[in-house]
Amino acid sequence: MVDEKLVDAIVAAILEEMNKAAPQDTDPPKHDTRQDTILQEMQSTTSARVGVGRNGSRLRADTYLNFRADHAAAKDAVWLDVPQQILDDLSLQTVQTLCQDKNEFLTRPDLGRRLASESLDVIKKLNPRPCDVLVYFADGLSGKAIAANAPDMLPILLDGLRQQGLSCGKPFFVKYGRVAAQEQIAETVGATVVCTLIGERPGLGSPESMSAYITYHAKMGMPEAGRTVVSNIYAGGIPTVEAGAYLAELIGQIHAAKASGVNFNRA
Amino acid sequence: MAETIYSIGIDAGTSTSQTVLSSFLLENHGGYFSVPQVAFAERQVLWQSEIHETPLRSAEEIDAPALRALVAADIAAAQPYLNGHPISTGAVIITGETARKSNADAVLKELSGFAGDFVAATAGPDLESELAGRGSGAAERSKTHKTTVVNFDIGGGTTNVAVFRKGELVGVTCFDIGGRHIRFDSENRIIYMSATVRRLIKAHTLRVEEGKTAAEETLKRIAHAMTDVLFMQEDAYRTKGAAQLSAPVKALLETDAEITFSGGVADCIYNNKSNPYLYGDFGVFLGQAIRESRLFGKQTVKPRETIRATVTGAGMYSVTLSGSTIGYADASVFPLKNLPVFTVTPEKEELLWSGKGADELGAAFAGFLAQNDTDNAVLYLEGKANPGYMELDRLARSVAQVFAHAIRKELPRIVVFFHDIAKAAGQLLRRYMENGDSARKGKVVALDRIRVDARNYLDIGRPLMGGLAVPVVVKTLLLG
Repeated sequence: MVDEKLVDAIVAAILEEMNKAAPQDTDPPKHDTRQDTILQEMQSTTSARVGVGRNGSRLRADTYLNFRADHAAAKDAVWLDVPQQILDDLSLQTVQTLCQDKNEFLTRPDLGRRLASESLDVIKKLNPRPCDVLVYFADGLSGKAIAANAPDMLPILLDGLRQQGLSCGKPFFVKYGRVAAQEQIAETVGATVVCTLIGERPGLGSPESMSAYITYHAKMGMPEAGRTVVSNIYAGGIPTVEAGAYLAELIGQIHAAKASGVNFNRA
Repeated sequence: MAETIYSIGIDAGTSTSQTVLSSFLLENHGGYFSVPQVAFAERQVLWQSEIHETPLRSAEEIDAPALRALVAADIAAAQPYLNGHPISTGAVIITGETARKSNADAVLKELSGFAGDFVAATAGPDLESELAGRGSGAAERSKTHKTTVVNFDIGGGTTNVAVFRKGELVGVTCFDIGGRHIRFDSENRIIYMSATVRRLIKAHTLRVEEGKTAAEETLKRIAHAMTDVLFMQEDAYRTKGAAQLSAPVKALLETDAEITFSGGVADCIYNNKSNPYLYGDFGVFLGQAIRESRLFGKQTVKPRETIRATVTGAGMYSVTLSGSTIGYADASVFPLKNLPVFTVTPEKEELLWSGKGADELGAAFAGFLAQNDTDNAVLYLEGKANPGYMELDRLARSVAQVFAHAIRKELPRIVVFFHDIAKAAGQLLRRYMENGDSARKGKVVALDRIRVDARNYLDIGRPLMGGLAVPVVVKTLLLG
C-alpha cells in the first residue's frame, strides 16, 4: 500500500524543486538588448566585418562561410573573362595587350601596359581620325565590373559628351589591360582626353566596382599624378548612370581646363 | 575644398522674438578619388540676440514696424560677426500664437525678404516642432546615443513635441499649451485667459474669473490639468493643422525614450522659481506642474538650448543640401522660392518609368498648379537606387512630357528625386527639352537626396562649392 501522504510530499518537493529550477532554465542570462541595437547600428554603416563575434578561438560558421563566399566572388572577378555577349551588344571590339593569358597578366604588370602593333592597328582602324575624347573599357582586375557596369555606363557617358559638342572616338575593349596602357592608346588615336573604364581590384564584397581614369594629353612616360580618378562606380557605390553623367561633365571640364590629375583642380 | 556660409534664424513667437547668426562649414567628403559628396562639416552659433518681447499692436495684430525695427537692430548688431560676408541663407519662422495673427503672412514675407536674399519664410506647427527639436540638441543627442529622444518645446502659446529615433525625426505634434494662456497684472489679477484654459476650468468646475486674483491652489490645478492634456491625443487640444504623433506621449514614456524640454517654460521646469508670478504669466505654474508630472523623472535630460531652441533650429537646421551630383545648366534661375510640391504616387511613378501615363499626370500637374494659383511647382519622384540606362531614358522622356503639359516654356522645369539619380536624369531630360524647343534649353533643374511630401514648399538657393550642390529649405507655410 502506497502512502499517499508520502507521494504528495514527494510530488510537492519535486514541484518545488522544478519551480526553483524553472527560471534558470527558461531565462537566459540577462542580455543587454540595447547593446545589440547599437552593434547592429554600427554594422549597418559599413560593409566591413565588424562585431562578427567568435566561437571559441575561431570565427563563427556563418561568418566564415560568408568570408569564403566573398573571397570566391573576388577570385572569380579576377579570373573570369567579360562575357562576349556583353561586348557584342555594345559593339565593342576586343584588342589584347602583350599578355598571352590571365596568369601572365597577373604576374607581369609591365606587359599589361603595352599593346602589340597589330592591336594598335585595330584601334587605329576603328579610330582613323583624332578625337576630343576616347572612351574605352579594360578588364583590369575585375571582368565582372565591366560586365555589370558597361551597358548602363557607355550610352549615358557618350550622350553627355556629345551634348557638350565633344567628338568621341569609337569605344573598344582591351583584354588583359592595365591603366597605363592608356598612354599608348591615346597617342595612337590622337585623343585629347582619354577615359579608361577599368575593373577595380575587387575587395571582399565589391567585385563589381569600376573606376574611371581620365587623362588630358596622355603621353608615354607621363607621371601617374597626371590622371584624374573616379572610383567606386557600381550599384553599392555611386549608381552607374549617375556616375556616367558625372564623368561626362568632369571630362568636359578637363577638356576645357586642358589639364588632368593634380594639375586639374576639381570643384 | 571648403566653403563657409552664413545663416540667420529669426523666430517671432507668442511671447518672445529672437535672432541667431550661425556659420556652416561645407566640405567635400567625397575624397580625391571619388564622386563629390558635399556635407556640413561644422555648424557654429556666432551670435545670439537678446530675447525680445514680441511686439503686438492688439490681440489680433502684430506690430509689424516694431518687429521689423527689432530684427533690423539685431541684424545690425550681428554685422561684426559676418566679417563682411553676406547672409546667404536661413529662415524666419513665425510660431505659436503669433502665427495666427491677422497680419502674420505679410509680416513673415516682409521679414524674410528683409533679412536676406535666400532667407526662407516658414510657418507651421509640425515644422516648428522639428526645428525646436533639432535646435535644442535633442536630435543630435538621439543620433549620438542611438536612442529615442522626445523634445517638448513649451513656449507662450504652444507646446511642440518632436520624437527623434537615432537622429531621424519619427513624429511631431503640437498642443495649445503654454505659459501665456493666463496672464496677470502687477497685482497678480488675471487679465487674460485663453480658450484652452476656459475649457479646462469648465471641465474641472473651477472658479476663476478675469480681473480677479485666483487662489494659487486653483492655478496649480489648472496647470496640472493642462499637463494631463499632453498625455491625451484628443483633437480638441491639438493645434489646428498639426500632425498626429506617431505614438502617444504615454506610450513613449513606457519605452526607454529620453525627454528634453525647451522653450521659455523649460527654465521653469528645470529650475524652481520662488515667485510664481515672476513673468506676469502662467509659465512658472505650468513648469512646476510638469516637474511634478510623469514627464519629469530619471529619463529627463537638459538639452543644449532651451529658450533659444526654435530660433537656433531655424538658423542652423532649416537648410539642407541637395546631392552633390545634380543637374542644371543655368545657375541664374536660382534662387527659387516658395515652390509647392507635386508628389507622384508610387503607382503613377512606375508608369512613368515604363514610358506610360505622362499625359494623364501632366493634366493632373496642370490642375495642381491651377489649384495652388501658381505657375510653377516641383515635380517630386522617389526615383530608383540603381536604374538602368534604358529605363531612365524612358522616365526622362515621360517627365519631359509631363512638364510640356503643365509648365510654360520660359519657366524652369524642376524635378526632385529622393534617390541619387539627378545628374543622369537631368542630362537625359535636357536632351528631350532641347529637341523640342530651344526656349527650354538650360531650364532643367534636377535635384536629388531630398525627402519631401505634399504639404511641403521648397526654397532652392544658389549653387555652393563651385556648383556641386544647392542649399534647399524644405518647409511648410501654414498660418493659423
